[in-house]
Amino acid sequence: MAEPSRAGTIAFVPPRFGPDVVGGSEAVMREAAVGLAARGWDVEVLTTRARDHYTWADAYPAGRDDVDGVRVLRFDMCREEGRYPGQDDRGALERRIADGIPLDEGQELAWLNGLFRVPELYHHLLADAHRYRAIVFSPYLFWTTVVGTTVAPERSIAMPCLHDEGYARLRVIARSLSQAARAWYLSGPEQDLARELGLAPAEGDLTGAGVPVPDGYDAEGFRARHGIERPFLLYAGRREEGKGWPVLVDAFAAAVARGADLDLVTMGVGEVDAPAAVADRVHDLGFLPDAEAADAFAAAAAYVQPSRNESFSRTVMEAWLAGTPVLANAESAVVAWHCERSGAGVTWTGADELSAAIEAVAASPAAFRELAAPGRAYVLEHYTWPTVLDQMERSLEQMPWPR
Amino acid sequence: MAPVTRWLVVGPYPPERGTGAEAARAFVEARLRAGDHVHVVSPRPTAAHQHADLASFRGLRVLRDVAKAQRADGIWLRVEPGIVLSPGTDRRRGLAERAALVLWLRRFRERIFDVGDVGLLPGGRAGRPVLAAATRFVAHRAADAEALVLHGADPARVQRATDGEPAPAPTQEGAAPATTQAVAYPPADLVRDLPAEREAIEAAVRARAQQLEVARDAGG
Repeated sequence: MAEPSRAGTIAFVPPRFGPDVVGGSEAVMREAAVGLAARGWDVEVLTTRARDHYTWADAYPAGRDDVDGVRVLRFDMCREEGRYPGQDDRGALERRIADGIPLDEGQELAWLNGLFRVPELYHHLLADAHRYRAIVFSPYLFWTTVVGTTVAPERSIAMPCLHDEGYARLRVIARSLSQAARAWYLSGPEQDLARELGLAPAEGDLTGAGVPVPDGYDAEGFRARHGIERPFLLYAGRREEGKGWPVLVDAFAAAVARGADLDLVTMGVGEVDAPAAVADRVHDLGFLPDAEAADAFAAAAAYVQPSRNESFSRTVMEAWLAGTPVLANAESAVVAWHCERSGAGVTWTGADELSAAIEAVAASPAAFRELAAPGRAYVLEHYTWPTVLDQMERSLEQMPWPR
Repeated sequence: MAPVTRWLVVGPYPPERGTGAEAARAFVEARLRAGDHVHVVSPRPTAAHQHADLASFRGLRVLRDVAKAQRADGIWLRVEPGIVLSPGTDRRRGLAERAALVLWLRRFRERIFDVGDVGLLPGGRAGRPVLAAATRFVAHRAADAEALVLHGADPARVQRATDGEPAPAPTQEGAAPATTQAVAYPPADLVRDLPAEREAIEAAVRARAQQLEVARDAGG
């Protein structure tokens, strides 16, 4: 692409930011900020002091910081203790949202303001938004994005990382995101969903997200280091119901009971809770360094993505880069879209089909290896950081500067 | 006299909607851009620095402490129910509230009333001290501006804001118990000549899943 004009400062506004912050959208924001800075953009990150999204406790000092060469400003959060004045507690509102029960305006605001607020960040934007060529907000459901995009919508880019879930149907979210100047989407189905829900700004760009490409893989070394002898399925991520982990464990146990000779290896957090009959075949490796995780992807017979709530699915890309086939939940429009476009994954619906797919991997590993072959080329074509940063720069070119 | 540089802003605030929140935001934005110090207190949790029950004397006590801590020398106060002046209070209480408010407002060199409910600023002798306390009124409707003057406000102090009416109001699936009934393994369709093609594999997987379902049903 032609060399873009890199004049003006780009602000990134994630709710958490740091080298040790875990989370999909947070990783994309970090790598995009660092990547654009490396290309010569002046980048500033405006965020909170929190590291984890369970406690939202202050972990970093307030004020200026530097992360991988990017200027970071951290602001204090305000958190409500207990009940929001005049409303149900936030847990009750969360349950209503999950159950699809509409909230009134006051309840939506109570939900939005009830987790955390960052008034000093808001006031920084009020005072200084005019200094930024563009302000990138992500993900869609946090105060920083919903309230932040209202300050200078003409300069705001929303990277929603949207899932088809109750939060996405809150009117307070549609009102603010739809006013942003542009959106950066990670996939086609995410863009379609944003339009369907009335969240989409007038302009949108399919930027995708980048995945680092490992220099090489050591599949045999991985097996040896972890003492894993059987072929295995891999799952990386949070082991929780919302991510589909129980479905995977049950389907795996059923396939093993019928004779599939596979193990299940998992990286991430959460209770494993495997049935006793397969407990010795399920290996929880916790968090692994990047290189070791890459070796795990290369050593696996197949990678399973049981979640239906994905806006990109970086682990699927990591599997394909390593030449490993993917068994993906067809209810995730995003992952099904990737499988359709790449041809390198098999989709399933429900535990029986997943169980049958697991049997198929055990019975015909060669066919699955061959199936995976186009996956690496697909990722290299669309989802390396240089490609994604090119897309983001093309989009930033559309943000006028100076105004 | 040096201009006011430290402001206390009291009123509804974004992300709430409505004329009051929008006016407060616009005022804060202008003051921050001018380099002033601004501290915002709202009646509910919002993007304000602080929130508190601002009704009546209780609210006045809170605001007195905040203003002192912030060393505010200017105040922007939204005149609407729930913020210091209470509607429908009895005469004695209303007089006491207004007297306390007027007394407190003297500490500020600039006092801006953003008028949402002009009815909270009574006319006649009783309301005159409150009206005199403001260095500037901002009215969002022509009728409010007229009412303020009729109540006795100095017309030179009444400013019309750009008309701004409030914006229009606006399964998780469980895993089916997988069967452990006896079905042939390895599943022939998944082994025999399974081509490395997505559609073919998915078709074989679906056929196998149906087989499992039939076997489970047969097993009761």
